[in-house]
Amino acid sequence: MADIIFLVVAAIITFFTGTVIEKKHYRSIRRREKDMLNIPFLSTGKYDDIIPHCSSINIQKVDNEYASDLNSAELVKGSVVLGVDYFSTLLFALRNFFGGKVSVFERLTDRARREAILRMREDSKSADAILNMRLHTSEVGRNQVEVIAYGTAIYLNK
Amino acid sequence: MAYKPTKFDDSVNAPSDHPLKEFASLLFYLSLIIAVFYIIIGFTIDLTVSHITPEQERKLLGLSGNKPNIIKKLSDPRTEKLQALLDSIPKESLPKGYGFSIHIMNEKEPNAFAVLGGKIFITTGLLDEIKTENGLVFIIGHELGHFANRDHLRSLGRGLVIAFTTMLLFGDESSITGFVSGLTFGIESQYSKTQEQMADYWGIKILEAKYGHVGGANEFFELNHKRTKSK
Repeated sequence: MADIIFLVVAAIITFFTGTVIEKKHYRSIRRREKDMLNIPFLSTGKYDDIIPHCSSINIQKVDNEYASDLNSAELVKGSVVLGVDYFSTLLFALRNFFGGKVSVFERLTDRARREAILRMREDSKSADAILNMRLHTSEVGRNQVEVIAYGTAIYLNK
Repeated sequence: MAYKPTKFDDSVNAPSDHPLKEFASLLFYLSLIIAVFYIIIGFTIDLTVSHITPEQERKLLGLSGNKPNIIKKLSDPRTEKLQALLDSIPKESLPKGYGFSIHIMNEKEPNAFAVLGGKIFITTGLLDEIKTENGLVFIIGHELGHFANRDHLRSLGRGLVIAFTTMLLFGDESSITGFVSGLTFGIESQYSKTQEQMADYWGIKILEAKYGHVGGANEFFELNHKRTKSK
């Protein structure tokens, strides 16, 4: 009986801590996304018309020289590992039995993706754009998710 | 084509379903399923148990490789005395079909159990507390009563089947399995009040069969009373 009480208490505590942590994280994500709204990031490599002040650069070499208005390019990345609270694992176990969408984990992966993208963009704050952005997800432990976002940051000649 | 800054919409990929509401409704359905199982299983077991003969019980025990008898016996000189006491109870008053044996278990908590296959376990804690022979005979009689009423099979059945079913449904590593089996084993390791009262009645019957009177039956109750009061 003692272990049942322990489990119930743990579930109640982690429900509250989990909710607070999630809300706090979302607040931080929204604020940072708003701050960085002006840095374009794209999943395509074609940026000709998309990036302001950059009429037609070709990423390919021309006569062993990079196109003139492209100053430099670098790989930028951001990764995050998020853990699941105990209450959510209980809810997941129940949901897994009945089937259906696992909302708690949907919110978790949403947070992880957006946090990874944010970290990638924070890695290159002075970049003019991030191109070819990709996302990868992997499972770290039993109840952790890792998301890595990476792309090519380009810096233009001003 | 102009670049348009990405605006994440919270409601698309992160649904705002309330986890507590979801948990409550899922738990409700699970409890409903378990309750139905419990009723059906309980009903089936009560029906089956009265048809299992002591002979079949021994066979089942043999088939299971004696797994239910994992309690560690203590070699104690008092075992022989207890066995002699058990053997001295008139045969015609014992539940039919069993070859009863008595064992001592090293445990401070005063307790006694009826285990599959006609084995009675008494803890050292209980032996230290019970001073009179009549008191011991009453306890033995009480456990014999559990055999006569097949309570030992009943208790084994329900908790086991429920734990087993949840294990099949959720896998043995799931936290739900731990939760449910902890809960059902907790309930099932104790007999119901009626079962205990019926067993007490047997204890008195055995006392009367051996001594022709029921003196000493109260020793066990007094011990229990003292213990509940001190708690």
